[in-house]
Amino acid sequence: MDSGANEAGRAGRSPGRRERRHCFAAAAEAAPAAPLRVPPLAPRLGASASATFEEVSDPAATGMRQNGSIFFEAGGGLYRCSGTSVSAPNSSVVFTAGHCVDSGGRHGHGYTGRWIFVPGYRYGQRPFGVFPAKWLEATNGWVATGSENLDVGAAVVGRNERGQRLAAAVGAAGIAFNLRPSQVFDVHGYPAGPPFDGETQRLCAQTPFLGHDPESFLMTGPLNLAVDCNVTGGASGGGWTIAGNLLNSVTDYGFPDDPATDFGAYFGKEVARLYKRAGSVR
Amino acid sequence: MRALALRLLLLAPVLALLTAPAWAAAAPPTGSRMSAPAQLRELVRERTGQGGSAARFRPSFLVESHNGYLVAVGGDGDNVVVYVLYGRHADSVTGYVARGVVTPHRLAASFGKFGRVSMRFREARNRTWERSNRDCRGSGQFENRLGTFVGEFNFRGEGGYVSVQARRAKGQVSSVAPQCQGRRRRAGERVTLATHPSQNGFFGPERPYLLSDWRSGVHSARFAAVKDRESIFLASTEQAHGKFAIFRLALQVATSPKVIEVSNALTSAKVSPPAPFSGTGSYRAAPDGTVSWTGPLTVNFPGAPRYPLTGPPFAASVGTTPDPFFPLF
Repeated sequence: MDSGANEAGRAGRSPGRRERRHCFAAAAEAAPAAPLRVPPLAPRLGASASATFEEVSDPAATGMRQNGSIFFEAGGGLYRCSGTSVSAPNSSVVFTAGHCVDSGGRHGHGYTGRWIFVPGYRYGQRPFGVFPAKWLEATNGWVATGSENLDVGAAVVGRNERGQRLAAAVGAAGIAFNLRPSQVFDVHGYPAGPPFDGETQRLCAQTPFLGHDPESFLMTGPLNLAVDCNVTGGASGGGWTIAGNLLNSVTDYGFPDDPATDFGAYFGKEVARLYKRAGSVR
Repeated sequence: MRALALRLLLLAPVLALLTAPAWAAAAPPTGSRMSAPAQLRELVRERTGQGGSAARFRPSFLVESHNGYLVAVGGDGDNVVVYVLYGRHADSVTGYVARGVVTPHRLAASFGKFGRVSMRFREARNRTWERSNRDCRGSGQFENRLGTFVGEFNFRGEGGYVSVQARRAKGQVSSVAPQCQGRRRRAGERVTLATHPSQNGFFGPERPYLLSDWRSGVHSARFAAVKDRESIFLASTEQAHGKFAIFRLALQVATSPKVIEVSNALTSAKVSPPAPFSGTGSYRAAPDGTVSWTGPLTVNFPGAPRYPLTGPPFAASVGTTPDPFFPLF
């Protein structure tokens, strides 16, 4: 059984919300890059501010349906994460956490079992069908070092049962890179650990950047982001969107002794490279 | 466990600085040594690869403030760290960490309103190379070029408890010796303790420990105590502060059996660690499962005097372990 799956199993079969794990490596930080934005294919719904993970009443609604639950096999077990459909040339890209596609680090490896994305999932309902992955990859930094500053992954999915491409079926969020960290985020996800059950989409609306995890300074890659949002296991990979429905981070980890704080990776150069690679897959 | 090992990464370069003979000239005449037990120092070195990372070079310099604080500045990977320690009893350290420019010739970073570092390294003319035993482990894997850092360094800690300005400072650039580069531990790799403890025989009888911690957002604190012939006390905090982070660590050992008293049933405990700690902390677990952790126990960190270690929001537990360092990591 792979290490990532082992961890997930201990956390109640939900690899998404892991206990903090560390892997230190020194590397030169990339030079700042100019902001880059890819516009969304669907408008953003208005939302009031909330640091609690409120249930989304209609996950099939425009602006919410691009978020979905991820089910995948690893090491003989079934695990859950969250993900977001992202606008890309191939109309088939899902962004999630790196540890939802690869266990990360020098001794890690990519998951090779079945991996599906179910947008708008709710209590077993699959209003837009199931999109199986045909390509999975994480940032080079996550794969090489397991640094949680770079814990971002992407999938390219095939067509659903109706023959639709993902973006055609549910739309897609835009994506933005190299912005300043102090944004106000809408955090989406399907938390499965108590008190949640993973059956409903949840949203922490308009939650502002709190700061960086101090331990983020001790790992390679750009400093990560913290926000107030009481997510639990299964929410990993859930999209953090900013004004205009732009994906600008994904949920990576939290601490069991502080469930009110959610940590996500900064979208910088390395995530932009991952996006480019995913978007070019045919 | 790994989290504290990472925190100790911050301490390891300080240990290296303060124990390196090269610093004899730069450090105050009194010299400085950590009061941590040799085993723990060795453990820190082992777990951190003597200095925290697999960086190929590590520039550093030392400045003394007028009120007795030592300020060591070091580069490690892409971080610049300003360590502040008090005098000869360096049992408490605060590290200010910021992303910056770290090259064999330059150290530069901004610490916001606390100050900035922008120094260039000028190697000594009579090129002094310090060589220790070249066993390619710990300090043995490094060779040190001595010289002077020139430029601008100003730093003023919280409330002005420490204030230093320097345009020149003696320093060194430590780098992995060529003959050790092939054997250098790779990034993220850690040395297993499997052989280290058993050789010293310190895995043995169950030792009582007390652990208390709290975390909120980007701020956390932890206190741990392990009762042994040499009881160990450790307190640490982490706090993000905009574009830099502040790590504090206090470590002390004591041989008196009175410093930790734990009931046989592990339902009550009292700790009274020596300086930099002060006061007493009392733990009590009631039959209904409620736990209290109270008392005037505090610790003096550079920049954070009388930091409280008991009461809410700390959550405390008492247990036993055969590994004396289990609660610490």
